[in-house]
Amino acid sequence: MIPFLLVLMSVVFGGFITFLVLSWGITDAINFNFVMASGMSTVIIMLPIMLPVMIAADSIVGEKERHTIVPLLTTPLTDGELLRGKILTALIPGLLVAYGNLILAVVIVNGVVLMMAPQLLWVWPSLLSLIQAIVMPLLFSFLAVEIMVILSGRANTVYEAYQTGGVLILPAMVFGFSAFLEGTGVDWWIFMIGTIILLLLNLILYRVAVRLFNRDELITRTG
Amino acid sequence: MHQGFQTLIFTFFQPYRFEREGNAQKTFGRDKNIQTSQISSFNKNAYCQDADSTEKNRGLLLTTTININELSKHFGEIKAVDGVCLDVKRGEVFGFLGPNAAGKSTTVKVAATLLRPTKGTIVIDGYDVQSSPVEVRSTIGLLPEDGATTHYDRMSAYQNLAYFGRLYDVSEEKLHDRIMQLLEFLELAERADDSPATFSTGLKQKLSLARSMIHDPNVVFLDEPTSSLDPIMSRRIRQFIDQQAESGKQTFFLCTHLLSEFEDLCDRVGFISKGTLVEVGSPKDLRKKFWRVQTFEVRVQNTDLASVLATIESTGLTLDTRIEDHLVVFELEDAEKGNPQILKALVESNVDLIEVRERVPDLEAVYRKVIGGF
Repeated sequence: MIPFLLVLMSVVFGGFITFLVLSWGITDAINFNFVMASGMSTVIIMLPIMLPVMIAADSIVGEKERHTIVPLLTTPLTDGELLRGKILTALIPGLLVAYGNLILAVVIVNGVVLMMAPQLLWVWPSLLSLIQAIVMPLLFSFLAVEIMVILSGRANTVYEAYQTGGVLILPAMVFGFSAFLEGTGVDWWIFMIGTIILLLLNLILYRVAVRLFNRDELITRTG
Repeated sequence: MHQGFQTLIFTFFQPYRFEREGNAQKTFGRDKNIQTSQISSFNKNAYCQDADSTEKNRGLLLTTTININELSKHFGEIKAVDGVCLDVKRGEVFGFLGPNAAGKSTTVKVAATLLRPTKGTIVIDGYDVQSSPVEVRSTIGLLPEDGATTHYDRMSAYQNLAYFGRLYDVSEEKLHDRIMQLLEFLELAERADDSPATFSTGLKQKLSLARSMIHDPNVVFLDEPTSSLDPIMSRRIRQFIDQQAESGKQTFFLCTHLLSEFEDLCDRVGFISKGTLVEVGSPKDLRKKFWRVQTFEVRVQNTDLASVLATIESTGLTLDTRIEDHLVVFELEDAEKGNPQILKALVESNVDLIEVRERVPDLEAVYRKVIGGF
């Protein structure tokens, strides 16, 4: 799935960047950086969040649906270990896609711009955009996955978990991520404060997830 | 890919296992001193009906692997398990017998830390299921009720076992040998690389059994291990349990409603009905206890069955005498006293005897007598 997504993204990026360059006209790097930061970065983060959300929705209730939850729960894993495993399993494929997308985007954007406007050697990303594109997918995906794992542990079906999560999480995450991008008034200070808040939120949610994880309820709950 | 990746993740987190939730013991491994002291603390409550433990009971407790004390598990108004007390000794094959919804699986689920008890405790190998759940899970192996459907179909049989072996902390050097040993023992080695999705129910059940034994647990809970299997497969699984039990290192706790199947396998059995433990003992002792009247059948040749019947009746020792399928059947309350006299009477009457055999009631018959109602 990951290679497929990377190929898909390279086609989408290539086409979209060429369209941007041809229709908007690139005059300078600052102008282009703004377009990329506010528009493309949202696209970069969209898929990476969707993929972990899908995997995380399946993580616990999916095991229950497939009857594999009992053998798993009788292994010596603690609740914390089990949840960390589930979170990372959902998170890492999404992050691979996110960072793969980022590398592709940087190569394609600068390549296309260089071909169209040889005077511009490097238009995107700026240092802040680059750090945002590395840190934000991680924090937002982590947040989305934690919420989904909590929902998955309390839902009766994968469909129910995905539906609830999809409706509540995805729009909020995409909106939240977009609000943190350069070009929307976010400077280094706001970025750092936002990062700290997100980190704390992630830690709190992890604790909540472990606290809410209830083997008894998981085994006995029925639709 | 996702499941394989998950294996990697869980394996990666193994070193951090000591971060326990709840009040779990920090000590991992089976420290004899800890076990003994922990067991001693349960001495006074070890037997619900016999709280004043005698020296004999204390001696027994030191070899107790499973101690169930006043266990109750209620689901709302439903009392699935109600005040069960039971001790299972090390190396014992214990049969937990009862009809559907008797409370067998619920008891096993509490023992496997899947369910929290409403009241009471279960201590396994010195570890309490509530305060040391991780240690309990390390100690036990579980074949769940629906064991045949609990495999990861995207992994091969070998990968399924390797995955759980790693979760149970089986070292990489030992893991391959252990998997192959189990697969060969259960005649699954040829299908090691196949997905369980392509297996028959019997093969899936065998794979579940292998999974429950992958870490060589001290205590193995087998919940309906042969249900839905044909007689041959069922026999093979019983043979496997029997062979494993021979070593005396592992304790088997078998739940089943197929009483007759496990009669020969179990050292002791417990009858459970409507959540209550009704009777515990060896099959032989239970038979003696609840089948006071012994039935014998007499096979003869060249002799009129009616005259044999009359000879037996003439002793005046039998409770009932009848002819069934070319056999003379008689019932005695005191076989030790009555049998020699009846045999003497038959010999003196020149009856051409082939054999006199006791009809041993099977466990199911004993169970019906104990529980009644069906």
